[in-house]
Amino acid sequence: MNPNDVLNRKFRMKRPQNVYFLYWFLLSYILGALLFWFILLNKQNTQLSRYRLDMIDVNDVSHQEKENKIIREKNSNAAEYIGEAITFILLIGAGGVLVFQAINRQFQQAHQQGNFMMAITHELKTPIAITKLNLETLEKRSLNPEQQEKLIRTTIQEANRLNLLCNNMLFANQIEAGVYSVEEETFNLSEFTELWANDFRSRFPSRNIQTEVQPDIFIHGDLLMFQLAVNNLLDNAIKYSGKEDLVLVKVFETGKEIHLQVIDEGPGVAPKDRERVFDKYYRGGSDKIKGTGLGLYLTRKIVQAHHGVIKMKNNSSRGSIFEIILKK
Amino acid sequence: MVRKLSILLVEDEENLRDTLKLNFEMEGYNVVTAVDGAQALNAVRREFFDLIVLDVMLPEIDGISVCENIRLFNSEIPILILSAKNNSSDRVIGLQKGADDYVTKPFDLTELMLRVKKLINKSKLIASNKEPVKEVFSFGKNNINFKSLECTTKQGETVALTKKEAMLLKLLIENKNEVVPREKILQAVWGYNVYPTTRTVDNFILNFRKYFEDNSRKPKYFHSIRGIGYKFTDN
Repeated sequence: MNPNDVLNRKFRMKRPQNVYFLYWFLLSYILGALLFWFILLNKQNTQLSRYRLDMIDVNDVSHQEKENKIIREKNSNAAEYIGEAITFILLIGAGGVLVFQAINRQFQQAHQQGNFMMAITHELKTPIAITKLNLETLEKRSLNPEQQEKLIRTTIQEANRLNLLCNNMLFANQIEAGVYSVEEETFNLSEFTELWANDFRSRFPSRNIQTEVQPDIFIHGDLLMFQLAVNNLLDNAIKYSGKEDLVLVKVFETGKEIHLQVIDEGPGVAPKDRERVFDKYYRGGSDKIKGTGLGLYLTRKIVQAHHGVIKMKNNSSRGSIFEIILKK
Repeated sequence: MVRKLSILLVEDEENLRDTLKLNFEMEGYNVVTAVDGAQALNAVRREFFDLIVLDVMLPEIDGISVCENIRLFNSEIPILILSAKNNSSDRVIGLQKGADDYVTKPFDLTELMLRVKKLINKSKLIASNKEPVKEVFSFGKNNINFKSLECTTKQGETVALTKKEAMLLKLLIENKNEVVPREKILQAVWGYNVYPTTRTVDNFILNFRKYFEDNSRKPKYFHSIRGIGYKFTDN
């Protein structure tokens, strides 16, 4: 869209190098100046003591004592300078490391944010493109009722997808800004889980979504947030597994804990990604897998807000299990 | 019967793929779909298409690499990139890597259909713009009469040509000094859209050598280029 994009990109590519150059230049200048002043002071110190030594009258009875005193003073001055210089170097070094880390973090964040913007572009535009195409097709072609029904159904699917994306983005912002207030209420998790699964069943009629839910398990929390968390898990399970694969949702109680599991039969999560799947903007397998990298991050935030934990483990056969554990 | 024009549609978003396929089919195209880069490349190697509609953000091999790869062995097939990325730099990269057109999502249905139609027509026009072969063509001591479907061989005999033989001769002579890929021969002369592994073309070339070459072991006119196709030279 923007003709300056190419230029911008080039600019952005160049900026880090400039910043690093400036950083190293300043750091070496400061250290160089420090060394320079240290040498200069030391020289002055030596010179001064020499003058003072020259001024001593050799005939004085206590001249030896005076000489010793001057040399002691010179040495103690030198020690003071060295101590001072070491403290300075340590402080500057520590500051340098901190600044370096901060710059790096900033660039990394900017890079991730850039990736996020690209992902968002795709995630927003695809459902919009499908919705537009479906509506135009409905408008321009004479279709049989079955075809019409399919187009309408997929359009609703895409609208829901957009809605989930918007909710994720809004919640992410609110959580980050700390302005989201948790609305606590007690609700029947078993009933709602069935409801949410049903919603997915109607959105993806060709998919095999099953539930094993113990009845009447109540939790205390924010219904809307919890729905978002479960929706994200279900959405991932559908997205990352094959058409024929089973998606299973389990809700059960053990002792003092309530468990909600979403089990898929997809390819599972690579060991190197397992630690990071819950990180913000992180997407397994780099850019090749689509998504915003917000879903699991938010899900964990939501579970944490409910004083629970979320775990990811491998399914015994294939695929993965995402499990939310809440205290009763 | 007029052959239906065929389109390869490469798109990993199921809903988009289905509706696009429906629209192309309603416009009278034959549509083959692929959901990732690897499938797309396989399809292009196996089959003839009049146009490829290619998404960029595909799993495994992305669309730009697919486009680059196709261009290594097929410089003629029109490729239309359909992408959510709409930066000018993304467009430039797409076009640089061999795409003929770049449409961004969301797109206008009518516009897309028009662009597809125009791209196909243009590529057909370019293909037919080659210098037409005259009715009678001579090289060395040989003569081919495309009208009467006859040829005069090196020994001065007159031999009747089958229709397919004449078509193949014409195709090779039209592309004089250029290698004509086997797939193109099968598609243009035999009308295969799916390429079978046959010795048919080889047998035809063997016949031509028998008719026209002084020494069929050291052909002067009809060369086979291993693994690619055939070439006619007349120097």
